[in-house]
Amino acid sequence: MMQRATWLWLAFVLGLGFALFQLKYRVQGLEEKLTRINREILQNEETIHVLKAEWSYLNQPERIEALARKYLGLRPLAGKQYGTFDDLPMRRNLAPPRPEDAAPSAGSPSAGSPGDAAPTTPITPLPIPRPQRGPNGGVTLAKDAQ
Amino acid sequence: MMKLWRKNPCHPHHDAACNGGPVRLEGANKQALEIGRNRLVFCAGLFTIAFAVVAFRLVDVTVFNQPKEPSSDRAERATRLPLERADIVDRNGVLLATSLETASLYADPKEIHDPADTARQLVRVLPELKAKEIVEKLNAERRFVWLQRNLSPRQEYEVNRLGLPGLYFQREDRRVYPHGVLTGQVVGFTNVDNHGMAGIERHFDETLSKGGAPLVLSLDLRVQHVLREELALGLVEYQAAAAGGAVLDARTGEVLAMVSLPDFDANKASEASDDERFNRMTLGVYEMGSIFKVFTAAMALETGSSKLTSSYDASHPIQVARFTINDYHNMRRALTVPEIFMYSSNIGAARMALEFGGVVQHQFLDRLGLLSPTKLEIDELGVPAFPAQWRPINTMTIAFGHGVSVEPIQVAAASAAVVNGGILHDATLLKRRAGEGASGVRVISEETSDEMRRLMRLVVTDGTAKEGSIPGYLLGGKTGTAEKASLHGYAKKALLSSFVGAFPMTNPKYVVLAFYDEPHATKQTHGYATGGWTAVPVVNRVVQRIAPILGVMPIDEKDPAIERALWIQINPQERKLALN
Repeated sequence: MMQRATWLWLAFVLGLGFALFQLKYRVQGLEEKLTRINREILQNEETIHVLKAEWSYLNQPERIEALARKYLGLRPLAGKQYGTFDDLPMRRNLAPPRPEDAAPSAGSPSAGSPGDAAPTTPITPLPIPRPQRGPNGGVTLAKDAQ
Repeated sequence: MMKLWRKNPCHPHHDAACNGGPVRLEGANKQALEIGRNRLVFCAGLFTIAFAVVAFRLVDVTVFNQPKEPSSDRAERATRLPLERADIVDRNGVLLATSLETASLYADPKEIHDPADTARQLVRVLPELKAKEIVEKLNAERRFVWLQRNLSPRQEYEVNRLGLPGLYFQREDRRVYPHGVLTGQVVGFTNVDNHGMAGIERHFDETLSKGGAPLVLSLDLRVQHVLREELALGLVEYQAAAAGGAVLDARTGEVLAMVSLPDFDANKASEASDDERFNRMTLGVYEMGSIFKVFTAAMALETGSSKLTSSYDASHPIQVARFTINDYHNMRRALTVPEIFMYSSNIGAARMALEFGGVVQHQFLDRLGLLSPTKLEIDELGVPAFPAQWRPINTMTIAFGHGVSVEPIQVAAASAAVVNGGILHDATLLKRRAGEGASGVRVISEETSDEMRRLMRLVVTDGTAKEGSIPGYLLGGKTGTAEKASLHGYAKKALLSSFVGAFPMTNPKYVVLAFYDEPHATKQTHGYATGGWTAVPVVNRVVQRIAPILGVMPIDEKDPAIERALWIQINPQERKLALN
């Protein structure tokens, strides 16, 4: 009886000790990992910082301009190259009528296609007006074409 | 051990010895047994106390002292980089100045056995060092001498590879300016100990050295580049001694670009000459010439001493004491206010100024901030010069920009106030936060500002700045051509040619100023070195390039609404549209 209790206690203490050491080593390992990761974060931040400086350096407008001239063939935007949506002629409905447009969908007014609401216009394709050269060299699209 | 505490020594296992009841020992034997027992009890007590202390301490350490456990402190904390000095960025967040860690080489002369050999080997990997100086340093009776600050990683590697004793590296932060040439004058630079020596770096030295969030400037690097490039092209073309320019947000006073040429690379500031470091936009004070007619006209219209239809006799030069005030192109007749402005008539401006007088002029220029240094956030600020006694002759010459020397940036800020509806904002190099910047001082009324916009547009469409009539951006402005004052009066050949413009003139968003110091006439300029032929084409090109960047949409000049907004009656005889 006595001996069995002693053995039990011994096994318990051994098990506890083993578990404790396991835990300790696990924690130690995790701590080392944390330290390593933190150091890596710092290193990465430092690298990012250096790369940011380099990025800014590589973005020197003069350099970008030279590269653009060499590879892109783009030129600075001139005032006359701008246009607004108002300058564009209205888009014509050039596509042939779709079947669901032709058959009136009486049951579902909410799901109606745009063609339902719009008055039926004769679908005759109109030529897009040629751009006319403005007096100051600017290209203006005729507004009264619609 | 348990057996020692038993009251009854008769144990079931020892039946043989206990058959006749308890054994009684007498005499010496008993005494010896008693002593042994007492000793055992005493020792057991001591052990018990000791174990109790250990147990108590164990509980104390493991349970109660948990928070003080220092294990987690051993781990390196992932904090933000310990930057010694804060970054500087432009309004779009482009990095203008930052600190990078570099290695600096130093030596402990005590540990160096052969200074001559060490120096020879060092010079081989660091060619910018001089062997003689190194030997001198290494023979010094100190334990610490700097050999070279801020090595590149490659140089550090090379020095390490030499494997010389007594050489060490010190980690240091070094200020780096990725756009050193573009922003040298404004951002400034630091010395080797990271103290700001010029520009923003100097003005905000204390704030920057605390580290923290980057300092956001009002500069737009793209605009800065365009302005600098165009000014530099002109500098070469006109073979001018110097040039300056600025782009301001007309409604907030934010400086989007400020350039002074010649300039320098902030990364090599120590190699720059004084001339290159001199910021002509802020530290230089100049008599700006006819640009001042903007303020003269604004003054006359604001005080009501002149109307747009008033006319003044400009047929003859004005003689005052030993001075003669004459026009560049004398029209030999009476001129209306718009004519005086578009032909830049000195005689007319002088006569206009005499009507409102010197006191008003002094007050008005002071209100525009032209008589005191700007509040710009750099320390290189010039002090405007003006006559202590404001006599009528001064009033007359100041009307066309001679007699008062101001910083060019002040002229840009004051011009912004004239065209933006009459609110003066101090020029600033810091980006204003959204919603901020509504504050400002009203210097002229909305109506006067509107009339001034028409007048300034007229200068470009019909006047001295026809070179600036770019389609679409409705540039307006005023040219200036000042004869530079020398020891012997005004020099006819040394000019300060300038132009201050704003666009789009219907609702000015940006003010652009450019000037050339002593430009020379070329074939392109048809033999003129005046503001209209030097500064105007430059501003013209700058506006064409920056307007798309800044998102200013072109405006159709032929739109009747626009024509009406800028219409002006030049002369009652010949009715004319300003825009034709």
